[in-house]
Amino acid sequence: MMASGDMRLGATISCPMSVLAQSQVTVTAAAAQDQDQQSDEGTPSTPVTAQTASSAGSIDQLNQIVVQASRTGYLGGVPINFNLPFPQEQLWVVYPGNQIYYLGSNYGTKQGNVGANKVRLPPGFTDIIHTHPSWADSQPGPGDWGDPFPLYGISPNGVWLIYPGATSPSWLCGSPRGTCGP
Amino acid sequence: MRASLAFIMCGLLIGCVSRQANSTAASFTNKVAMSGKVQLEGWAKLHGEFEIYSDRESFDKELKFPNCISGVFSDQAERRNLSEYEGKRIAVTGELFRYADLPDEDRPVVPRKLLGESVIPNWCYGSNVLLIKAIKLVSPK
Repeated sequence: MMASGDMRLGATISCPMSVLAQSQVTVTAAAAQDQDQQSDEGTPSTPVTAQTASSAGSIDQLNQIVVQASRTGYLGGVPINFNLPFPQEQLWVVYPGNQIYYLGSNYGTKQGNVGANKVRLPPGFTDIIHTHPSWADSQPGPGDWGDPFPLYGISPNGVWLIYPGATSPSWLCGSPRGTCGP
Repeated sequence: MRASLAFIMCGLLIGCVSRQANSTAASFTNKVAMSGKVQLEGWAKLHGEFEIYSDRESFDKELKFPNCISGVFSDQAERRNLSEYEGKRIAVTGELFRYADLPDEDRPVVPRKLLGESVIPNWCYGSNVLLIKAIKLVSPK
């Protein structure tokens, strides 16, 4: 039986890049810098606009957006920074219509997980996108499994996706020791 | 005759070294599966967290637990330069914790376990992880 992840991966590979350029929706980011700042309430504060998929927001288009982001180095108008120090990662969440909210990296010096403990996320997000910077393994770690949402990982070696209940990641491009290319 | 004797001695020596390496690895894998305070010797790899491998072969092949254990320092945030240990044989003292029992960050979007005051990714996929209290380089035997 083909897992839903496999189906999604296959559709992504066949998706033409022109899809990305055909439409534009507003993407709101909590912040747009690596050392982003948020209020104590964690309210998204710095909206930015970026080209993404159509407002229909199909999962195939989201796959393309994430793969393209790994190649351009930008996601939702925010630079992807693989040079963050341990244990920082960058995190985005996706709402219907492929609206991408950047949550930032972490806000303290000791804890990681992109400051999620300070972010009050509006309910209803459907996907999570995060980075594995150069300090990390390119592959998923134990903390990347068991999430109730599809979880994307962007590393210098590639992009993977874990579906809820999956036992192995789907590599959308690259490999544990590869690259997504330009 | 002398050549045969030398050949036999060489074989015995290689056998002893190999057995010692296996014994060291077995000791390591037994230790990391236990609980509480522990002293370990192994090969260090810096992966954000600090990974310790039972022997050089495990290091080269990036084997998982119990040939590898993930650790962070009790003063991780102050540890700025750990690169001196990268790829070296090291001895550590520390305390073992069950990864599954570690607390999560407060309201995480992606679950991240905390050990001491640090995130511990646990790339070794171990049932145990190590809170490192002390570390030193070990000269190759």
